[in-house]
Amino acid sequence: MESPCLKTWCWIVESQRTWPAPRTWRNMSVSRFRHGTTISHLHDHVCASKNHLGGSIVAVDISSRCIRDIIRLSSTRPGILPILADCRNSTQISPFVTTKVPWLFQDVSQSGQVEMFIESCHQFLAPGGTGILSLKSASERDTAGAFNHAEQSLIDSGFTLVERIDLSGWENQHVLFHVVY
Amino acid sequence: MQLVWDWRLARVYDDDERIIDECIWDGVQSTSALVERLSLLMEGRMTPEARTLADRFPDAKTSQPVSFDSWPELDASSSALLQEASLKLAERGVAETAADPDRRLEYLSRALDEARVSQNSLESNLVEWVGLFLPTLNLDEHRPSIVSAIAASSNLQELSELLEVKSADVDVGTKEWSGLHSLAESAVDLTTIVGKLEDSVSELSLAYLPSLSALIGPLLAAKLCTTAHGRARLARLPASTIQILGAEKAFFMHLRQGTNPPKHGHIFQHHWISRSPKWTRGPIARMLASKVAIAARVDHFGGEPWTSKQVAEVEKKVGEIRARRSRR
Repeated sequence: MESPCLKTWCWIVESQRTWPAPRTWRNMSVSRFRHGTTISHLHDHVCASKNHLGGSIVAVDISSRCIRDIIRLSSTRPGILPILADCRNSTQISPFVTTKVPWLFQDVSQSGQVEMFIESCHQFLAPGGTGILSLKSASERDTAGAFNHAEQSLIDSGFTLVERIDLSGWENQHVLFHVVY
Repeated sequence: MQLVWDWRLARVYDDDERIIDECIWDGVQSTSALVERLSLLMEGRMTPEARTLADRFPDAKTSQPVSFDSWPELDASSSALLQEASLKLAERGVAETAADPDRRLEYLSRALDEARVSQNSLESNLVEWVGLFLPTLNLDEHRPSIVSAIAASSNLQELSELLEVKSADVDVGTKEWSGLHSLAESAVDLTTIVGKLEDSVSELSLAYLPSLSALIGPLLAAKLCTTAHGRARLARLPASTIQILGAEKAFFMHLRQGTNPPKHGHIFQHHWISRSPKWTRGPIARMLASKVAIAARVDHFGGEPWTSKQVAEVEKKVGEIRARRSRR
């Protein structure tokens, strides 16, 4: 449990409930996954071993260092589409996502995370789909008010907030927002 | 009317989302062909099918397939093909970063800094160590030659003869001497490594940042470029930021605690600043930073590289600032 990347794990433990796992759906992840643990967890649910559930995960990252880890991961876990692209630029992602996705996870630690998330959801998330935003407050200018600002922006953009989970202890200065579009 | 396309097909929808025309990719569906198509799409360009429809319906607006509910889902075989192609595309992208001079410059300068730091600390440690055994040796005067002298000698006696001093009356065991000797050898090796790395940084920097290298020297140019996280970013930074690149600690101390703001960061290493009287350094740093900003932009946006002519003009300005400020 000491790995800082087990954010989805943190979430399951913290929220004490079964997570709204995507099953056999096309699923999209806009993420900075570093060691790919998030992707591995998602893969267990969406694709399972040898992709017998027939799902697919679109994994986007801007850093070639992260993508090369995902390339290796995808050789043992079929169903992952590694995309070396900037997730702020939807032109680079849209060739791979041609129908709306039921599940979107974003974990980019950079300023303007909420706006990026809202924009990607508007473009790619199906109505009623699950969106999960992992927000790092230290990446925003207004560190103290980042979480409340994010919550307000999500509600203002028409999302239903299901849960807001503070990950302190597992991943400091992080809050996960679970929303339904 | 809207024109929509992905890698498989292109369609024209009317305003009620009815399909007016359709054009399907009927070429050989190989991974390599799809990789080319996807990279075309990632640049926001059209597939040949989309182009055909665009010619047929010139007033159709372009749109994204995700906005249409009737857009066909991927079947199993095209899904597998897409996955394979995206893997190939990602591999290609990763391989392309190897050609990125920013990354190479970053690793090179980091390696150079590392090698310099270890060479320095090894040398100072060795000099003090051997100073114990050669009490009459002038450590400051002979400092540059001591390490190579240790590496060239096979025992303490030989070393004292080489440096023309008397050794202390101690018995240095063979084991201690051999430790000292191998450390000195690696310090000498590190000196050559530093030289090689410096050559390599200079070579890359002169090619990648010709104007900046001409202005402030290739090593400092490389340092500024890596601190700014790449040439593209350096070319977009304001001169005031370039001026204090490398002085972040002092700068944030200034913001938080109100200490005096730093006048210069890495740019201080240039002799126009470090060899100038203290009271002229601020204005010179300011002026030089502005010139650095211009030179970086010339390099990044493909301008005519600076020559000694432009550098001489800057040097003249340095002289003017020094003269103007000397009255103090």
